[in-house]
Amino acid sequence: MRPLTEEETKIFFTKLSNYIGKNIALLIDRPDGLYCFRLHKDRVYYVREDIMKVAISIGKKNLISLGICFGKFTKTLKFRLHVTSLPYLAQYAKYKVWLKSNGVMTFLYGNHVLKAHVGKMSEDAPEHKGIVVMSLDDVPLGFGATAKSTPETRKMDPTGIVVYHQSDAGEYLRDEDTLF
Amino acid sequence: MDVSEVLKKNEAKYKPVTVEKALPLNFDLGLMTVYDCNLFEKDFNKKKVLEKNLLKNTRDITQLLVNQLFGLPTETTDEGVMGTLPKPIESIPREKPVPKDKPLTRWEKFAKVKGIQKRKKTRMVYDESTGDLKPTWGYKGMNKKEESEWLIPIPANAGPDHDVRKDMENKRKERVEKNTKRRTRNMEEAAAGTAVGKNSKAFRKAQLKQTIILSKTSTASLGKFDKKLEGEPKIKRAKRKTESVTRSALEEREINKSILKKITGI
Repeated sequence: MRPLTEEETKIFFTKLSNYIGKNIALLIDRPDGLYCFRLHKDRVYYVREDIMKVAISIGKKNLISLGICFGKFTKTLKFRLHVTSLPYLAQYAKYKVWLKSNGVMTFLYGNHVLKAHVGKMSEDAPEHKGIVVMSLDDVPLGFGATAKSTPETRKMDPTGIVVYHQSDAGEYLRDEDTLF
Repeated sequence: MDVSEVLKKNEAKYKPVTVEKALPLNFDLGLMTVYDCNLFEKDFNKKKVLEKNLLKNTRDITQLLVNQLFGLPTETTDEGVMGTLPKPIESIPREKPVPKDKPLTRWEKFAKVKGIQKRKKTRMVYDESTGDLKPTWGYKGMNKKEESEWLIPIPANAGPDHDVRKDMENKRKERVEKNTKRRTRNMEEAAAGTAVGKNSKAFRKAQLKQTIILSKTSTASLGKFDKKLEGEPKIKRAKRKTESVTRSALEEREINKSILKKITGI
């Protein structure tokens, strides 16, 4: 476990800003305590400071997880967000899409979001931007990237892809072994 | 309507061009600078008043400087009318230190002690025996004159297969070789002299080591699979520096904020 280097922080924040924009500042500067990001086995964890300090005494091999895992760095130093970061992404997301009940299950099985399944969508979402997928009763399901900007999706036919799937809550079951 | 009244009105809009000063100012027009030596007796305690007075004084002396600048000889060019500045009076200190003298080579030191002075030598030398000019060295050079004589006495202790001509030629070549060696040594010493705090031997050793390290890592595998020599120095690479694990979250927050500022611009 170690703090992120400046380069890693830059990569991580650029990725994160794709989804929550300037709201990263709210993650860094929280009124309810001091939180920090820590890198452990290529994974980035968002931890409260006192928990981080306790975790220091646990050896590298023995420490499995701490705080909330936001995602991992690939070997080529790209950052991949994990579904475990969803609570924070959903809280601060700039763009959201709400699915009708018939689209929820297909999305949770790892499929892209089709136009026919979209209940409503943020008005100003641009193309290829991070977006959080919710059910109509405001339960976050996962996240992805927009295929088209919101005005353009209006012209699409019902079978067209609106949001490319990146991660969904179904991964908690599907990738149970490798997720943590 | 009276014209003078209009002029007066117009004049009131601008500040006066002429400024009265007790002591004359020192102008350095070459640098477009002016120094005011007049006493500045104003209220120093009131900051606002002081600021105002300073500003006024600055404007006044700048006006005087501009007046002077407009009095300079002008020149009409394609880009418009240009004033020619005189040479600056104040000398600005040089940015870089004065370059150091090159250290003397071994020969130069020797020549200085002995008082030897450089003088030009012509390539052609007069040969007294034949009465014509011959080159000092090279094809049919004077340095080969002795060994190309038609008759050369053989020393008394010489063996039966002793070749006098070959012997002389070898000696001549040795002399050349010796001089070349000394020249390269002198050059190396001069190079070491410019590298601060190193004598020539240590300098050459360090240079050689550096070359070995470079050549070792100049393979596709950065020298990983090369045969190691006995007693080969281990190459130490700079270790990556990471932040302490115990870095406080408070400190980290500030660092993260500054990084975020760079990315999102807030």
